[in-house]
Amino acid sequence: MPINESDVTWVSEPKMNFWESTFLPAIFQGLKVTASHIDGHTVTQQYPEEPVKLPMHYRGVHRLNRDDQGRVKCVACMMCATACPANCISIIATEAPKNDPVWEGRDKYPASFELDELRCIYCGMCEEACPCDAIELTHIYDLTGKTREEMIFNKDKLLSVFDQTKDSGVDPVRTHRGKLSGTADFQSLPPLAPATSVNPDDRSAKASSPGVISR
Amino acid sequence: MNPLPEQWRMIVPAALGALAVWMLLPRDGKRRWVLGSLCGLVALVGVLSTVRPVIDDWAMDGLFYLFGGGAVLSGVMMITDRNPIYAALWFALVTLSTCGLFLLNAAPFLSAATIVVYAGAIVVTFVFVIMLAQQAGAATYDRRAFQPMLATCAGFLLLGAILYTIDASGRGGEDARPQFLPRVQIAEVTPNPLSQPRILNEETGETDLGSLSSIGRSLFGDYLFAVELAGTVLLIATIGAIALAPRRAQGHL
Amino acid sequence: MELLKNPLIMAGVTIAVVLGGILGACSYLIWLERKLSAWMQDRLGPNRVGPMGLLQPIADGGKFLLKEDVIPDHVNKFLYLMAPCLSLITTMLAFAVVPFGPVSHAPGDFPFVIAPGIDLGIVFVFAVGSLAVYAIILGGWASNNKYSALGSLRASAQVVSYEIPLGMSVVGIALLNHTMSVEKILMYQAEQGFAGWNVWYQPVAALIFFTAALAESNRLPFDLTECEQELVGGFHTEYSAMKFAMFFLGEYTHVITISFLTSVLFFGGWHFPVIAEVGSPWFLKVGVLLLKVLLIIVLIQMLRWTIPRFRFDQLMGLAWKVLIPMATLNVVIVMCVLEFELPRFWLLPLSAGLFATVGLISTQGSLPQRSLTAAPTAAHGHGH
Repeated sequence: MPINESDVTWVSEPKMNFWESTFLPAIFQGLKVTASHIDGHTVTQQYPEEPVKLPMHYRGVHRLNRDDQGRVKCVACMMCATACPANCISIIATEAPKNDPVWEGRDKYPASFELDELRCIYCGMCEEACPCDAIELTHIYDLTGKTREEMIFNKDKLLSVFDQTKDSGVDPVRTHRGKLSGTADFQSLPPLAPATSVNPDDRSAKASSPGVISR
Repeated sequence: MNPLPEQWRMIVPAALGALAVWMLLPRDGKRRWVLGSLCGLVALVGVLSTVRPVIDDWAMDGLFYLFGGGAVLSGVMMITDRNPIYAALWFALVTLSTCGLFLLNAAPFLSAATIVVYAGAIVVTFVFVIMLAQQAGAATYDRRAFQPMLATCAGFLLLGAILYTIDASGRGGEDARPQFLPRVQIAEVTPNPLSQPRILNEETGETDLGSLSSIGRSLFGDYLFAVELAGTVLLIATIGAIALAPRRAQGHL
Repeated sequence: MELLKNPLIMAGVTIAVVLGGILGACSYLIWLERKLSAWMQDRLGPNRVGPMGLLQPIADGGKFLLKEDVIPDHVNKFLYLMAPCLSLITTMLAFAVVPFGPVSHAPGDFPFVIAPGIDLGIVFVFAVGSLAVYAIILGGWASNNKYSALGSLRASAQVVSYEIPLGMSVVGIALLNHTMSVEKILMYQAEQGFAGWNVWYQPVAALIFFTAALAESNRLPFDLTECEQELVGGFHTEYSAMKFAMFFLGEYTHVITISFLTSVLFFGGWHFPVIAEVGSPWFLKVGVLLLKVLLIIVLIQMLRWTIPRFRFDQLMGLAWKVLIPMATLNVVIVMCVLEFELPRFWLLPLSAGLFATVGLISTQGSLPQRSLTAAPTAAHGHGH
């Protein structure tokens, strides 16, 4: 369908005045701008020497959170494995023993939880999908390994990532206060800045469920 | 006048050269290029031994042979090469060798101007056009010579005539020049003082012949009319080219 | 020292000095350019090899030499290998007549120019410079790559067009100083003092010369032949290792040459009032000249990040519609001043007038404008 003539706005080039048509003022103005930047001020980070400053919403290596009793928080509901676009999570669920005091109040837990860090695209969908805030992405960005097998993280390894990062300050446990899972009941939330600064007039910021991460 | 057979020093190399070019010209099927190049080399050596430079400076002699031989060789390569791009490059080499000869004859401005105009602009345009026109490789009709026999004969008859005339005029004084027309009496003309070379150094007799200023005096003194005429012709050609160029409607590419 | 009186040996020494100087200067100017670009973009630039990255050029050179020398398939090998050599040879050759200090003709003195006493210095530079386009054309064509071919086609059109304003802009200077020899033009300005600098009499010519020379050297904003966004690398897309380095050195040598020519032809060469007069020692003169050249090179490098690249029709329009008529009128003005024996200072207001006229024509010009009101009704009249 052709565009309606009434919808077309014809724009003509603005006429240049005398000085503009000589191009000299524009060149000098440009030179002034470029020269003013030669003042030694830089915005680069000297990465290996200086620690890198990552934004709060950075998505790095995953961890499996523990609840307040130190058990794995995951309830093996398979939501993350379903949501994962890269198919990198594989979970084998098992029923929690009924009379075991260790698993008191829990029905299911993952017997095995494997996450292939090489297949993962670090999109954070698993974190979004998780109903009990068990899987979270941390700020660890320099993950390396010598073999492919080494990069497939099992449950223990993912839990150890949690132990490593929970007190680092940049990776606090982001939680819904266990609204759905009931596996954790933190009394206080660590202070956390909003992931990005949001313009209050921004329509997309006024989502139907705003403030997932809030003070 | 010398009868023709006495001119064998000119005729034999010219005939050999013609044979060489004829054999080397691109054609369908195989070329006898070994025989052709041998003929050509013999012809070149023959000509060079006859038309020797008169100065006895080994450096100058060497440069003369380098540039002269280079010009002739590149010229032959230019018309015998099948690849049009190479032909254009050989043409550039012909121009550069000729510029070297100009330099040897103390005409630096002519040499620089020739480089700028011919090697720098005209041959570049040739290469440009060849690149645009022959993207799929050279067409078959471009890979063989058109009328090789006739072209060779005509070219070398012309060359022989020129060589003969140069040889004849170089042999003797004023009277030895070949006379094609009856001599007419020309009115005595006083030489233009502007166009005479200026003496720079009284003791050594050094003049500014061949320098930039003397060329300028000559061009805009003696040959003013010719220069202006040539300029006008070029201007008309430019206007004609602009008039002939296809026009597009405004705002359309 | 007696040996140095031999002109051949002296010429060899000069060539060695110039060659070493230019190659060293090239590598460190590339370092400077990378640093300047980085600072302009609020970055740090090379800082890994040596203090402030000062050893970076040496590391780069070593890398260029040791890299694998790839010759792609289906290239025309002879021309492919010849093109970078031509690029370097022609640009180096152009430096032969450029004085880089107080020129001396006395035997045994360091001449400060490779070929002293060349009567037609500027014409020689242009003649050799016009051959530099072969390197680009042949390199682009022989690479058997459409980006290279497009780059070289652009280059040939650009270089041939900009040679004309480049040549015409110095005609006025040659007329004013009665010579084409670069060293004599330098001496003429130095003897007249600060007020004798050609830029006071030929400001428009200086502007045209600088612009056209920038275009000839294929630097931004005129680097249509190798613009990365459109042509990958342009004519040197298929070149690697030392062959690429030779193209790069050729381009940088050209930048150095045009900076020397600009400062010598228009800004008095080694002359600067009080600091370097005619009787000053040679090292002051060389220092002043090199400082001027460095300033011009820094200006060129800053312009690179200041002015965006031209479109190709703008590039051609600038050469044929603006620079060439301006240069022609400038020559006419100089001729009039010389013919009617007006004082030379008349050239400054006349040049300013010429510049103003060109500006006025471009704003007030009554060229047929595209009618925009008629365009929407026509089925095919939507312009670009």
